[in-house]
Amino acid sequence: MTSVPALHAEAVPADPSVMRWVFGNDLPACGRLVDAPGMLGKMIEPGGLIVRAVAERRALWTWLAQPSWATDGVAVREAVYDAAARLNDWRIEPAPDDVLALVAADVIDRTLERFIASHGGEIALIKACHNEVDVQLGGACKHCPVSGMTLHGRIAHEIRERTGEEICVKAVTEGRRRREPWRLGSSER
Amino acid sequence: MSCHDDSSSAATLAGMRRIALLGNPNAGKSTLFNALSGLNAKVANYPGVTVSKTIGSLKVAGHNLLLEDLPGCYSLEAISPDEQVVADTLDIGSVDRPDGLLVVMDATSLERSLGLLAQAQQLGLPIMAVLTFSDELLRRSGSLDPVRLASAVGVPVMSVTQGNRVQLDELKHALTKLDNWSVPVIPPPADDGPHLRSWIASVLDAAGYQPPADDQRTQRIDSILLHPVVGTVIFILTMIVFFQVIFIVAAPLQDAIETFFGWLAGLVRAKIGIDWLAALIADGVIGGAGSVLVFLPQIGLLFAMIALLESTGYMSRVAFLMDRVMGYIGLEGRAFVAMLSSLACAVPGIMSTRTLPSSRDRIATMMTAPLMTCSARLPVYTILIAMLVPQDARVGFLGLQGLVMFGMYLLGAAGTMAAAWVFKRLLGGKGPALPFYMEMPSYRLPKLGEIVRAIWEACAGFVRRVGGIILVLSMAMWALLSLPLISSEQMVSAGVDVADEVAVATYQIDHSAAAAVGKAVQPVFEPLGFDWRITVGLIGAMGAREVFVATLGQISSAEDPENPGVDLGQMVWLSGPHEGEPLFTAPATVALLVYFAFALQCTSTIAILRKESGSWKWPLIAFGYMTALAWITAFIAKLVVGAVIG
Amino acid sequence: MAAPLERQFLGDANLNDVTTIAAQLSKRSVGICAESDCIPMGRMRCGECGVIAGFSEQTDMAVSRRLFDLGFAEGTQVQFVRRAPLRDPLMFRIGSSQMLLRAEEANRILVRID
Repeated sequence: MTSVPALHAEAVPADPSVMRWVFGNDLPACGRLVDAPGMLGKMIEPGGLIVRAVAERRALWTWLAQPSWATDGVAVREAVYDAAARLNDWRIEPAPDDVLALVAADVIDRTLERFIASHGGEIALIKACHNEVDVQLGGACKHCPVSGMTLHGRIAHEIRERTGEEICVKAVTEGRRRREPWRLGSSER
Repeated sequence: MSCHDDSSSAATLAGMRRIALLGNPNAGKSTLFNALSGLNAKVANYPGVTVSKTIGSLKVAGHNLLLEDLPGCYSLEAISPDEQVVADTLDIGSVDRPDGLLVVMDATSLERSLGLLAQAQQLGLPIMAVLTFSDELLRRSGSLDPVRLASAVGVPVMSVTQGNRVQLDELKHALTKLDNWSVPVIPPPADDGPHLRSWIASVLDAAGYQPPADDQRTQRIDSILLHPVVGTVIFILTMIVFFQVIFIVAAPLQDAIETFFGWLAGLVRAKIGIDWLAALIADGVIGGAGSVLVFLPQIGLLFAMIALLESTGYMSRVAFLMDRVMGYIGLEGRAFVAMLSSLACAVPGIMSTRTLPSSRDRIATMMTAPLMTCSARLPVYTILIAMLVPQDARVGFLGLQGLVMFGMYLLGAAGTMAAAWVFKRLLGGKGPALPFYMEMPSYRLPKLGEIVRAIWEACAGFVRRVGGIILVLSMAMWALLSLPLISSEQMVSAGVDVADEVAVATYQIDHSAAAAVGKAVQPVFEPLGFDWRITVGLIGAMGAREVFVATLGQISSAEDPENPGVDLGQMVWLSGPHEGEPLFTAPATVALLVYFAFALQCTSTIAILRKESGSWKWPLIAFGYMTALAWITAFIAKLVVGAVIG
Repeated sequence: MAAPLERQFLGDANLNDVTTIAAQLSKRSVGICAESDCIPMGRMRCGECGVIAGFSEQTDMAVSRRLFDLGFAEGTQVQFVRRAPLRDPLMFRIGSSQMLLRAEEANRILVRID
């Protein structure tokens, strides 16, 4: 019997229609999930329950059309757990910019949010593509002497951990904040 | 919020939110409950079952909260009455369904606790998780980030360590913010074994969990205390110490108390002019109060030892060592602990049957624990043995009196074991027996405060329960022996010499209400060699054994006020076929000893049996079978001793 | 701390009653082990360590499910610590706690010795 790798689900507070499935092992690749074994494969087909599925290194993001996790959540959970037993059969199309935007926003707005806020700072994501992430510093970060360390150190490190790519984080002075890139259908505004 | 109202309990309607504590046994749930609810917890019974229900309340920041300490459970798939109660309480149709669930998790056994949390998250109730023993986790080189754990499991997580007021206050405030608790969007996969393990592993990894290393201290101590030879020897020594405490340590204290009360009674008799009032106070009130308080050193010491063994964790080791033996009579190791507690008083022994998961085990132990030799029997045994065996009689270098006393203890223990075996057989049959499993906790250094509190509660409870009854009974016995008042004219016309105090007192007693009752019942006990005066003593003792000595003291002192209560051995039959013969012959004395060994003579025991079993059926059965057993065995004893002697 | 989520009353999806939950739990499979290189846990030697491989097949798996809930799950490390002086019960170290089981129950669990 193939064993199921460590796996649990975490909700994303900012968007109730998305669920983040955290794995204990590396997924086969980063990018858009186009095919998977079992029920999960059926769900990610066009017109299926899951309208979008993106994999980072150790997590899978799934979007439903509506935040209907209360009714559909258990079915999706079963599908993901069953498919997790056969990771080798997952087909993932590379989509580095999508993944980078997703992960960068998550790192800045969720993972490091408390750390940044506790120092009275603000960091806004401006752009994320081609292995480059542009952010705008505000609040205490603007004049903070160690802001560079934060940028190149922690943020880059976190993103690298989760995408496996070497990326470069830059502070820019202008540009509009890229909001909620994980919202469906959003593109750079 | 119309869909909410269907499951509103009466408490919610009254404005009080209800929060239930759920968790494994040994997770520190009850300690946390006590810390949250203070000393105002009420313990009752879940209707119809032998499971106790603990409800308390908490007032914080203007909010009134009802707290329920649910019985410890390992799973919502119930296999014991305790767990069935948990399941029933949490059910949607339940009146007592809580508004929020506090899941208590032991940080040192998190893999297991998370399984229960996963099951609890299927309920759709707001949940907050509380981590206990985080200090223990750190001490054993483990680690955990509660914040990351909270993100991973989807419910808020707070760490609460015993003695940490700050954390406790934070928790109390969090209890008022039920709306901030979460209902997880997707519950974890509790209904699939491998998926659940995968979830648990992932959550622990995300929380940065380092499991604690083995508890070296516990290992080292267990290698001695559970060593097949050394451990058994230490266990036997512990049991011996248990007994010796009763006699050696408590005795001087008891003598002091007895002397004090004797002095007090003498003072009352001397100072108060009105004879009957003096007698009422001296014999009824002071005599009664004295006979309760004289127990306190013994009870206090026994409770202290039990509390010490319990809180250090040694009691679990006792259950481990004795499980096989208890298995022979159909019970388990924890039943032995309950029986051990009964050596102080059957009431705490019966209460500790709550630790037995199987309801059949629970009933069998409850119904037979009163056969263990409790402290109340000792003054009766002491007096009777003194009449039976000369003080300086010896067997080898051991005093015979002490040996006979030890023999009475053995008799009680043997009776308990045999009766438990019988009950288990009678109760058994339906359904599979509960599998035996028990967690062995780490050894802990108990806090002095908790031991003192345990002893205080036990003693105060004892005095409250027993004291009231004994006082009432003593006064009632005194009244029954002194009424109806017979005037001097009536006595003269009956031929009594009114100048002879002893004759007057004897006549009064002989024609008192108590005597009427005693003579009426005497035929029941005559085959055992008891006359109406002993019968009166037994009737009084039906409420509490201690009353027997006081009653007989009252009767005999009236007959010989110069030597009150001392020369019971001089008493003779007043009428009937044995008139003039000594009352306390060897066969009669032995019969009385055996009767006291097996008879249920304690209203407190009856009351606690009613409370713990949830119905009157069981205490009535207990009273019935034990009275019959006592009579029959006393009769056999009388015949045997009579045959051996004559 | 997880952000507060609205209590959702959509249908009865989230408000599962315990009877249903218990029924689902009683249908759990906790992993049967049919391999031949495993021994019943009760036959381990004092001090031996092993990994749990699963449960033996029984008509009534309720006891095995209970053992699973106690922490005796497939893939977990277990050590046989000692047995009582009268040969029963047995003490095991499972996860980070110590559990007592009688031989009869312990033998439902199959382990692979390290």
